[in-house]
Amino acid sequence: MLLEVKDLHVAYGSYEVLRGVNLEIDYGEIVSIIGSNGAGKSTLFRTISGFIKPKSGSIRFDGEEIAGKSPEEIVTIGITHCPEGRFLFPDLSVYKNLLLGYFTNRRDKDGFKKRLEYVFEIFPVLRERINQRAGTMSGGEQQMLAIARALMPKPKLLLLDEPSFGLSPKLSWSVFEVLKEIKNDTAVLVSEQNASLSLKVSDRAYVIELGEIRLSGKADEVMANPEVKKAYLGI
Amino acid sequence: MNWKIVCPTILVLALLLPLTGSSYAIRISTLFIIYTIAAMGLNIIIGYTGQASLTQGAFYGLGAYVSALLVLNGWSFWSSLVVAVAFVAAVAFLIGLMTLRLKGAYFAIATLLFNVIIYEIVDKWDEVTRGPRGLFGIPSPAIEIGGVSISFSGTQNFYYLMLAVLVIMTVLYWIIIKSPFGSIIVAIRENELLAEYAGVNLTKFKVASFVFSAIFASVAGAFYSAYIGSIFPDITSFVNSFAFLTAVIFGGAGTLAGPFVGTAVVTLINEVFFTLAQYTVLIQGIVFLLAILFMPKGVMGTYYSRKAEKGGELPKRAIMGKL
Repeated sequence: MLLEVKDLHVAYGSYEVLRGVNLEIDYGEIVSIIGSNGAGKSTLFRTISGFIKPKSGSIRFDGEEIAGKSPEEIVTIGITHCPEGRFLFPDLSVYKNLLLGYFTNRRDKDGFKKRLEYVFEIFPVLRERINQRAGTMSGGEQQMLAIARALMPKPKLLLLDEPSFGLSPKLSWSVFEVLKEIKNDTAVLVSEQNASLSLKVSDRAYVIELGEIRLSGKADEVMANPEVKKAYLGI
Repeated sequence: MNWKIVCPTILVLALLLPLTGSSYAIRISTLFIIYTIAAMGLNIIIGYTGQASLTQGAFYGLGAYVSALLVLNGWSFWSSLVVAVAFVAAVAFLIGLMTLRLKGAYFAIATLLFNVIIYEIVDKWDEVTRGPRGLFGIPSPAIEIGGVSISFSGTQNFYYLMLAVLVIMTVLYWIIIKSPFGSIIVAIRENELLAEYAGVNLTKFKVASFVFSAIFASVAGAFYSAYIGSIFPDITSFVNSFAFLTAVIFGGAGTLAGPFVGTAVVTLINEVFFTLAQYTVLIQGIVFLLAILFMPKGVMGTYYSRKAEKGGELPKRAIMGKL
């Protein structure tokens, strides 16, 4: 297993946001986590990437306990986080954004060029925009850059928070298509409110409600579940 | 503007300045250079790292006091300078660790508080600092090259010394900004949270840039004490912090040339209103307010964004070095 989360409890003050979450991701997998606003998806992501210290429970990554490590250490270990809402350095060029994404490996100059080629192959539009200010690109391009930035340090696991946020269905789909290309190098944990698209590309899925995992299984099984259909797919 | 022409021209003019024979012009220029060095340091933490520090005046005064006390105890100026810089850097390191976890205005208030604390210590610790009576008769620095001793006591000699120091500090400042370190602090300024997502240890880089800014201030302070020959606790007061802040904001925070332009204006204000000395702070405040209201990017920042609008290139504020 690449990532194993066991009985994870996270609280803001006395309010428990995650109440014993169990979750697993294997190498080469795309896993969706589906839930409404406030279900605890972003909290789970922020806990895995070291921004929030869990109250109890364990997070094992590649066999190593990582709960409570700093964000810097987590990125170095091989987990990157692409937060919700196209997080970029808007006044910096596309190139500088990617350069800063590579921060933790910055001593390896040749590796940077290889990674740059890799992300340009996945997102050819970024090659054309390399000297443009990130903030002046379209929403879809900005989302691609945000993902490309997170892919720069060659992570083993990418945490992708709401990639379809503010994008048209067609653009969202092109973002999800990309996940299939990268999944052999980088496993992906993707959180979505708009479940139908993410379930189509995922191998497995978890449904989270009020800080607890309610349902898990193969993506098509989850999609076929009548309750999921009603609550998240709008069918 | 083509900097490859502008910089050497200014340097040549600066070298020729003593030919005018006006000791007044030389005196003003020497003070301008000293203040510019402190303002450059402040620009690193405010303009490039985006943390509004209000302790620069205290570091400046502390540098002046430590070096003056050592020189008066018989040390050579140069070794006192090194100790003063190391001491101020250590103080900045501790203050930075305590304050840089705070954000925005809270950080500014905390640093202002430390400025007041340092002022009170210098003012009240009579046994060491001689308190409000100040320090007098601080000798001028001198160097020996091959048995020939050169003293920097004259106005003109000191001016040339400061010009050399300015060149060294400007190169250092330029290296800091254009280095990978400069890229990272700009990233922190642009989006602190995202920098952390990318794996940047925020505290480490913020504290380092705070220490750099203090080093520049202490160098300026040490040379000030050697130049003027007497210092009083006022030099550590936050009035100086605000003067440097005005210079950085007016000149253009986050631009390389900003501190030079801004300091030139602040130095001119101090001289023009010399007879109204008690009002200089008021006038600086007005300049500061006007800059914030009508030109928040400062002179150089406005110049670069105008140019960027015309040419469609990246604004200068966003340009960084290699990683």
